Amino acid sequence: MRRAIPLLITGIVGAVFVVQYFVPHYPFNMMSNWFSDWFAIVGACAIVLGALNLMKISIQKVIKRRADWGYAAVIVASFLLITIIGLAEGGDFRDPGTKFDWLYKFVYTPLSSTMFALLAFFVASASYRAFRARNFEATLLLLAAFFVMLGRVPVGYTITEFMPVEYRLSDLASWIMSFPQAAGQRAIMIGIGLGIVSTSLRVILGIERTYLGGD
Amino acid sequence: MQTIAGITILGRVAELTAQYETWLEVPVCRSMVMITAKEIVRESYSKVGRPDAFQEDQVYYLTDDQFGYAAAIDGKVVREKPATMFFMGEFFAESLILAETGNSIGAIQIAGTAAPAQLPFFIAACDFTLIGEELFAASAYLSKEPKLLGSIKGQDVGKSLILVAILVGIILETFDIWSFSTLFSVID
Repeated sequence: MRRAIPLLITGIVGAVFVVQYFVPHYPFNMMSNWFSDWFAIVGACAIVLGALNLMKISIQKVIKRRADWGYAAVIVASFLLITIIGLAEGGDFRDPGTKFDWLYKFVYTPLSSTMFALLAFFVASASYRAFRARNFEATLLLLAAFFVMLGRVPVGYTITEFMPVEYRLSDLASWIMSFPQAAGQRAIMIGIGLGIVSTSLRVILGIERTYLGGD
Repeated sequence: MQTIAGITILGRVAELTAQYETWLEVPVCRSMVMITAKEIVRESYSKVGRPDAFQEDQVYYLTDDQFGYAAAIDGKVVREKPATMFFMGEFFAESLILAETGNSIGAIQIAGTAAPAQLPFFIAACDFTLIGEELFAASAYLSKEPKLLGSIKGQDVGKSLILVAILVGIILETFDIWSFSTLFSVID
């Protein structure tokens, strides 16, 4: 029973989602909405479990003074602070001017932006490694990247402005993106599509059961 | 689907780490996945006869927030310097932040995703990358089950059919024969 019921639910829900795509009429269109609502409800319950798990692990770390317990203390303090402030401000906690909004705007958003901004440096270091002309393929990649990058900025247009339109760098960049790049990407997309269909069928038909724990 | 494929791979990795008594840590960013991943790891440890080695806090939830998750992982990676890192499933802008940090500490990195926009980042920063369909094939291949292996064969047959369709399409379009392609046009 421990396995049969989840397998049955997975099979029914999976089949309904497939059928509603091809038959978008009652009752399939409604069933798809119901299952989506149930998914949201189960997800909301799981969030509580996740938050409790995070708190349990962090508090244990602080109490037992394990390595890097200071970071765990920051997690516990931040979690409690934002939860208490959110609860204290009631239903309007997200309105502009509230303490919760202040924390969101001036603590959370800058921290998130800082992490996102790190990408610029990581892109530079990853590009440096990827574009080293070690072999023929890497050289092709380097040349393609060079022309695409140069063709996408105003200076690329300016230095080849005197040339016929079809030989300008911007045109070359567009050609690389529209043909060799698009062809490669579509090949990957076809493979991904088939992979998703095959994995979905394995799950819906109950052949793939690893996600239930064990074989 | 990518998460399910990633979880299947996690099962095999957990079996190996249990066998070789290697510490495995699974930080997740979806609490629903945490519950499943914990079960998978626990089962894998039991399967190889090491249920005692499994610890509850091996699999834990961090945050649903994209960059909060990346920050937590990066901090852990820099402080604890893991030997190997697996990135399996769907990734967005955090992919390069995670992979480059792993690369900077010299960890062996194995990535697998079906998000085409993140593939170049993983290829540039990781030692091995499962590209698109390979992620789904790997999860079936590792199980060694005939039925699952058959689905990989099915994928290959599907690809061959699409290849044939593309070739037929090219020939027909080249010779201005439109009647075949119009058979598949969508009627509004």
